[in-house]
Amino acid sequence: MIKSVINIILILFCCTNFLSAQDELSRQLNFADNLFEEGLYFDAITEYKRLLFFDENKKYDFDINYKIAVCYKKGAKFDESIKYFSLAALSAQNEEDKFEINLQIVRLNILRKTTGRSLQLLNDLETKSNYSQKKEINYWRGWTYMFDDKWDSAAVYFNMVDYDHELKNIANRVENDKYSVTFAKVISYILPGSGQFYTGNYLSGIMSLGWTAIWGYLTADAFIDERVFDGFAIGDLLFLRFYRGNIQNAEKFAVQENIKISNKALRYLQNNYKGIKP
Amino acid sequence: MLNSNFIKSILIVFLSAFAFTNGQTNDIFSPQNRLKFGNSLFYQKDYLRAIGEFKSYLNSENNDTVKFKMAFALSQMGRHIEAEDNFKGLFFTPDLSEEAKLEYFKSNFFRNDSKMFLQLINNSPFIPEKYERNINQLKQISMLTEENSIPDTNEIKNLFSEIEKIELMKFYFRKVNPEMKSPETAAWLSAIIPGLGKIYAGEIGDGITSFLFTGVLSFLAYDNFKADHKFRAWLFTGLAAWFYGGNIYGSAAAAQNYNAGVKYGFDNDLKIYLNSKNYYLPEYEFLNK
Amino acid sequence: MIRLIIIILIITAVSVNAQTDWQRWSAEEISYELKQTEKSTSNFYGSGFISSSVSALKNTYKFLISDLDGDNCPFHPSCSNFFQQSVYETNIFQGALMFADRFTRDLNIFKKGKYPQYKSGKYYDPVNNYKLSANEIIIIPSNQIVNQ
Repeated sequence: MIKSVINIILILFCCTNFLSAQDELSRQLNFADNLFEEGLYFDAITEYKRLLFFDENKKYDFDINYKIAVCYKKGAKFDESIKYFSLAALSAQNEEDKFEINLQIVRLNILRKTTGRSLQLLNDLETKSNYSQKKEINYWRGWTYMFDDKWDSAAVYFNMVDYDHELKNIANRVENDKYSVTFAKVISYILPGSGQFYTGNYLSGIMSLGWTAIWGYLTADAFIDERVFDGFAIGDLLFLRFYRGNIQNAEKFAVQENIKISNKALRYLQNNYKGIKP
Repeated sequence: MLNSNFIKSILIVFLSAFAFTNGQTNDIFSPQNRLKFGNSLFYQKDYLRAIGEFKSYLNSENNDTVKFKMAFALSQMGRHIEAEDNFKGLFFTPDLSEEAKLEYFKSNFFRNDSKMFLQLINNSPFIPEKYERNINQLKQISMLTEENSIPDTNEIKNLFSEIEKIELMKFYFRKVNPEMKSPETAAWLSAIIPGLGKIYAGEIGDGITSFLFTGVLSFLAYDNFKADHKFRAWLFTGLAAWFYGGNIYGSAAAAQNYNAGVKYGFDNDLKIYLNSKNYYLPEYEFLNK
Repeated sequence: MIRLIIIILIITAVSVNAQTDWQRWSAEEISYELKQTEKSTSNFYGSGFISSSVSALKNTYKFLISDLDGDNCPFHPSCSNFFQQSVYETNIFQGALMFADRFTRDLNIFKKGKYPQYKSGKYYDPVNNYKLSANEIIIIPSNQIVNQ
């Protein structure tokens, strides 16, 4: 009887120790996850890597590589993040996981502003996607175009997601608020300083108009008095210089104002938008 | 029956022992497991994390190889002063003393202060016997990079192979006979003919521009004096004088920039060559285990 | 086989990029905002009479002329900034000669390949290289881009 009890205890002891190996990995995963939740991403990566190293059965490969990638993303280490997402993709079990990973890589490309690459990846994804996935692809296309400062294209793609999508309305508003750079340049060709007036830079506009008027008059006066050399000298070195400068400034101010308008919208998206962001 | 009971008992005892030891190694924070994980990180060049694991391991165990790896990792990350302190701690160990001394000097070398390195070598009693040749090679290399030193050609012939000797002697001759330009000569040439000093310093486009511009201003000054336009004449005279002075100054500066470029080119070429040779330093098998 | 190649490439790339983790880092928020076009710098140099006079002259020139005649200087720092910085770091006479030399170099139409590029696309031509002080010369290969 006693012998049987001892045997049972010893057998239970064996089983417990074999099972504790798996418990150890689970505990390690919890530990690493806690570090992640606390925002200690560098340390979380250390513990995730430790788990990967001791996970001989590769049970946690996908999840851990995914989490390491997210940690690197939080630290703005985009290259490393993409690499670990790629590693996670290699151990993905199903198509949904692979799709999710690819979207994560798209989001990273949006954040690091390699928008060309982002669009290329989305185009590749679209060829293999189903209807609901296409909506997600268009959603991220919209974000890509917003980061690329192409708000009209962004509005088109958000419209495909939902006719009344909040981001579509924002994109349309930005596009309407922006100044036309071409228009600013054209009116500056016709009337120096008008491009600056169009964008609200009144002092610059008045001074541009003044200088081009003065040097234009002096150039004409020189030619009328048959002082050809003086006419060319004043015309080329002074009149044309300020005339060209006026057109450059018209373009520069329009571009600067447009960037301000875009940044206002992007700041709202970063700080106040409640939907899914890159 | 006795036999089957006996066999069962042996089996259970054996399984228990196995399970017990397995339980010990299941603790992934055990010193041994920390060492394994640390080695894996070290191999991946994730040195900061590897150092953390090695430190934890060394809290409970004493292992000179691990201490060496820690110091090596610090050196690889550019934390040379800390690396040197760690290597010093291994100078009197039985197995890695020579390697530690070599790495100590190597770490000091990579602080990129040739003068300090040469002083250290000349005064240090810790030159490793096993790697004395490597240290002397580093010394000659330092003399190539240090501004006021010239390597010993006999030492170069003794310390390096034929092919290496040929390459190093090329650098030696470049150091001894650098093709420098004299700023004073450049200035005088530009004083005689505006722009000539810049051409001497290798700036042909700038030299021609200088010549033409100073020439045009001088002509305008002359022309206006001839036409009795006094104000314009003096204006162009002043401008011509100013830009003439600027041309002389700029020629001297161009010669100095040329010389700085020659030195930069030398240092860069030498660095590329030495990197390709791993600075004639050995690699350690035990670091990959 | 392809999977193996991809794994090897990724692991190699991870090893090469382990340098990212050679220093502890913490979470970083990436701004969504677009980069503003670089405004021309207008640093105030020095408190002496001559430096202040040069600064005042330069600011007046900037307001009345430079801000209106377009982006004509292909160099960074711009010629007016170069002059101001030269006077501050040397003296008015040396600064004037440095400016004259800079202006002449600006007239050279064959500048490409001679100077490294600044991040704004202009040629990087710092004052340090023309102070006749060999120790202060900054040599940067012409194929590099200067970000500072």
